[in-house]
Amino acid sequence: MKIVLNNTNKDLVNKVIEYGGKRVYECFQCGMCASGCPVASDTDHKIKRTMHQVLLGLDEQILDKKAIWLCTTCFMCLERCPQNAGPTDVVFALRRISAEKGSIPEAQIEVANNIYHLGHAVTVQKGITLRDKVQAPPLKTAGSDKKHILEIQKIVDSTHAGKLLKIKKDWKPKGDDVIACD
Amino acid sequence: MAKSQSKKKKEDSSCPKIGVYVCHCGTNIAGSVNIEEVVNFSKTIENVSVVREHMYLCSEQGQNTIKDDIKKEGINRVVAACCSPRTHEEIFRKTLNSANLNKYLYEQVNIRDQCSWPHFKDKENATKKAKELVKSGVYRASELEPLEDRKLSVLKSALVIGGGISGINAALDLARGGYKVYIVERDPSIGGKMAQLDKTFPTNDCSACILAPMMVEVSNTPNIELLTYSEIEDVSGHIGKYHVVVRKKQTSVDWEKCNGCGDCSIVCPVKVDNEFNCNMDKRKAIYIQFQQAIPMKAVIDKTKCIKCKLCEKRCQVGAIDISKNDDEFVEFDVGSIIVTTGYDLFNPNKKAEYDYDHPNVITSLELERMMCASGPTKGEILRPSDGRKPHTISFIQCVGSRDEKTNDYCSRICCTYSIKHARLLKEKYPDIDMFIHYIDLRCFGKGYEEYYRMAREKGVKFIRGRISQVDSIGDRLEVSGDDDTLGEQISVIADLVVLAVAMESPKGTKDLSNLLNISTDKTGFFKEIHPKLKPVSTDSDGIFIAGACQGPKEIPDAVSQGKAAASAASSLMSKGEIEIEPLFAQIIEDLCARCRTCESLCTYKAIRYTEDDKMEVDIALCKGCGVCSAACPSGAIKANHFTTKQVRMQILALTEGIK
Amino acid sequence: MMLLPATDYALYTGCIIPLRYPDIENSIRETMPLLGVNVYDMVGAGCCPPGGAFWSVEEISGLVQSARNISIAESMNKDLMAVCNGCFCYLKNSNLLLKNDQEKRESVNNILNKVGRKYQGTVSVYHLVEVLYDHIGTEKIKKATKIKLDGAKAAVHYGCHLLRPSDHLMAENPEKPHKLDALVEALGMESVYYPKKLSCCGAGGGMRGNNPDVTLKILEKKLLNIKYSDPDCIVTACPFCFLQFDLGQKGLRDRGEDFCIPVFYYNQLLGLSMGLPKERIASLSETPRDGFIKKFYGVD
Repeated sequence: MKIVLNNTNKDLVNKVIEYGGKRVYECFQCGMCASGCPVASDTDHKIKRTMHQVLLGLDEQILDKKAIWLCTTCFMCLERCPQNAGPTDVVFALRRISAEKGSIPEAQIEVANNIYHLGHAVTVQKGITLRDKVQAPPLKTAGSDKKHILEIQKIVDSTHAGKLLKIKKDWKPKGDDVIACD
Repeated sequence: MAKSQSKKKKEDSSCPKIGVYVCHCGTNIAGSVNIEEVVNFSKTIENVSVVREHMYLCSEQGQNTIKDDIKKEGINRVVAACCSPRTHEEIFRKTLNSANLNKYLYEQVNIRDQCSWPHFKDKENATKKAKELVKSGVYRASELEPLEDRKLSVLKSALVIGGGISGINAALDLARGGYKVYIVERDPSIGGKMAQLDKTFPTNDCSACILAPMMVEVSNTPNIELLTYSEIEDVSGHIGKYHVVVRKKQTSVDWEKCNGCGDCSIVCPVKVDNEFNCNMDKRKAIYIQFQQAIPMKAVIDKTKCIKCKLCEKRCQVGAIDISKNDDEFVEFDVGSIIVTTGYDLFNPNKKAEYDYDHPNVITSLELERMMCASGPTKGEILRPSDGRKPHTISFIQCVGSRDEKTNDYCSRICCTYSIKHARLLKEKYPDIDMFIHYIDLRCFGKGYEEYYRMAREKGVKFIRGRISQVDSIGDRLEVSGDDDTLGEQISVIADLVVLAVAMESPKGTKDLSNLLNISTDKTGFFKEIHPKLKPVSTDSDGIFIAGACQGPKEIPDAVSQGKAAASAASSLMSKGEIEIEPLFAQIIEDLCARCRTCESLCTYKAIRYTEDDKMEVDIALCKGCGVCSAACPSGAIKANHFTTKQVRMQILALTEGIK
Repeated sequence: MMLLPATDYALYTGCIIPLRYPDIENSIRETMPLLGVNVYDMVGAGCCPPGGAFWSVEEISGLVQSARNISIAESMNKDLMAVCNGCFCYLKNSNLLLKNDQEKRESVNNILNKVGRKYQGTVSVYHLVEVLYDHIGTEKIKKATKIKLDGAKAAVHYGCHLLRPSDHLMAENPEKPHKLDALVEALGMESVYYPKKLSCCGAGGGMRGNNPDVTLKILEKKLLNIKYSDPDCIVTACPFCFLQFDLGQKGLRDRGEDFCIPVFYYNQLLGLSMGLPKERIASLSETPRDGFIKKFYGVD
């Protein structure tokens, strides 16, 4: 399908700059980022193409799609970029823009709910059992006492994250599997 | 008599008749400054007799308008509100001269570079500022005095620093023109980097074949004095007469006697890394730099010599004297200086991800030496690790260039030299697989696009995508990259990886720049006055730059600049004298208390106390900075063209009416 | 090598170590005092939070939780020591951001105020590897370990967030890191070369949750590179990388592939070399390690 470049979303690049991808204009498409990316050959996440799509304003090709959530945030592209264009920052910015539109993967919602309700990214009960098994001292972190969790909840409620991450008040943790931490 | 009297009356500042000329400069000024407003305002300023506007004041038409006004309207001071004096001050001054008005009765007010351009979007304030600047210029003009240019004698000899292809061309052109030329070169031989190259693009000429005859011509030209294995120790003086001190490093070999036979090298027991072959093989402590060296003389590397004296015993002409240790100094005077110090290559250790530590990761120059029949491998391409022939070679472009972490400029020659390498290797070894990993390919100019096509026809593969890293896998190397067209990551398992390293300014540039008082820019290379119109001139009028030391470039351009610098130096020296602006300090003897404050403050060492109890200004050294004049407690120093009165008027114009 | 004086640290454990690998937590708690460093609990410390959930939807929501954690260390008047790469990266980044950006600091403190906390910018954030190498030093470690692992080959995995972005973290040379290698060698092991040593394990950024297939593919590539040098074990200083190698190899084995290299968190080997019992410090893993422990420590 032929892409007509006149009528793209010219505001996308400004939004990306506002949401953290401050130096996206520096990109001159050299490909160093794409060369060192650990996920490029196995997923749809092609960071060099993403930078170009942002500059052209091709938002329907990037937002609401899974690709940007497949970045492992290893920062190799950001570290090596010869123009310091910050590709990882651009990925974060695009994620934030997508989230505002309500597009977030399930795994992220799961982790956010864990943190909100249990104080940690993973379930706590299983952890306490393991701690007993190896004679670790009693847990003192957020997951050990409701008062810490309430504190975290209060500060998260002061941001928009709760709404964006669809944190439900009546949420229950899933099994005891380790899901995702990041 | 009447004419000179009337001229004097005309120039007398007690009755200034000022002409103000406001230039549009297309939209450069008029796009921001309201010209009509400035014109109307100028008419109200005291002593202004004529006000005109013009689209391009520097044009012949514009200049004629000024001339006419001087002749017909009796204008005796000219104020042009236009661009920077750096661009056209000379033209305007010549116009005044041709209308028989002293050329220093001219004031240029910069309402472009310092007004319209920086405030382009703020039209209201730009106009206000322009008006204030014009007023200041007019007030100053009313106090301007006529001055006469001075003549300075210029020696008809030149110093060329650096004996590479650019310096050689500059020297030959000047010598042919009858000037005496000194070439100072830090290596034992002239030739520079070009002597290390195998073939040159886009003609595939053998580098030594085209360079050697020029080097021989240099040594056969009586007007050229070659001082190799030497460094510039000191330079003092001024345009027309520079006093140069050269340190000739001690060779411990009498070059009058040495016949370049090379027997000494054969018996020398000490082996040292051979810089000429990029440290890929060894030379001896006593050595001749390379086979076509000019001068073809031996040199002892004092840092490595163990003083066994085997060479001294062997030498059949008794040229060697190990006991000689001290460097010699040579001094001479020249009229102009041309700097052609060339370049160094980027050190790839700074790009740790490319694993330059690995023996099979080499630079482009190392490959060039391998390809050369006189090089360390006699022209065979071998893997340095085990001496086996490579089956796959990857060329990585932009190493140390187009990279904010190292050098952000494009090094200009790397695309073409890598294409050259790949193409020449393919001709010799058609079964070696070759990949060039690039970002953009820059092959401009005559013959280069054709060169690129021939490389493709030979089967060299071009992959657009910058390489991320090189890893060793067993005895081979994995080059990890990206193919833009395929939209996928790629990797090449290579036997040899060639890094296309960038050109950088050579070691010693900062010191030379301080010594000669010429600037370098943010790339580290020497700075030219104007990249388009004055590519070989520096801010020191008698000193020129040419070749790679001015910026990355290939041989044709280095030669052109060498010739351009010779031409510029020749124009300077041909008449044996030049005229200099009289913008220097003048001592008013009667007021001078001989406190010598001025002498201690002068950065140019232009003022000194003489034996006959006077303070003397060397007008050639004086740059007219005004520090002495400002510091003199007796007010005994007048800064020509920037007198206290003139500066006060400028300040008055800007502050009048402010409470 | 200049050693910085060892001090006391506020121990920030994150989520994975206290709740999935508390044996690693024991190994840290018990080895550090033997090297002269005391660690103290950060009561109420929550998730750092890492890049996936909060930072990916709204910067302030991640920043304020990081700031809360840092403020706990501040109230203890101790520098914060993180024992996980992800925690280190996001906490240090947040610390730098808040120290330099007045506006963001004010917004964060406006929120922290509501729960009686305040970010002041008075402490530094370190990674355990920095404390071991720069503050304690390999000489001290050599002297403190009774059992030497001579002849053992370790494939050292630095992970991503200990090294990058290097101009913020400044913990290691991002292209030629050496600290963890030196620490491993201080135990008598040989740190072996393997290709693409600096590449990602594949767990982070939400990958493990979002796409389990791809996460295993990336891990497999890493493991094949590691296998190149045939190491006796893999050593890391990040629990999430540890989890990826440990559970990930099990996942690959379930698919019929042969990956069974023992994985250790550095302090586990350190503790075993000091004679601490494996039941407390190195007993939780899906990829068996008993063979290694028996061979090199002579312990059943």
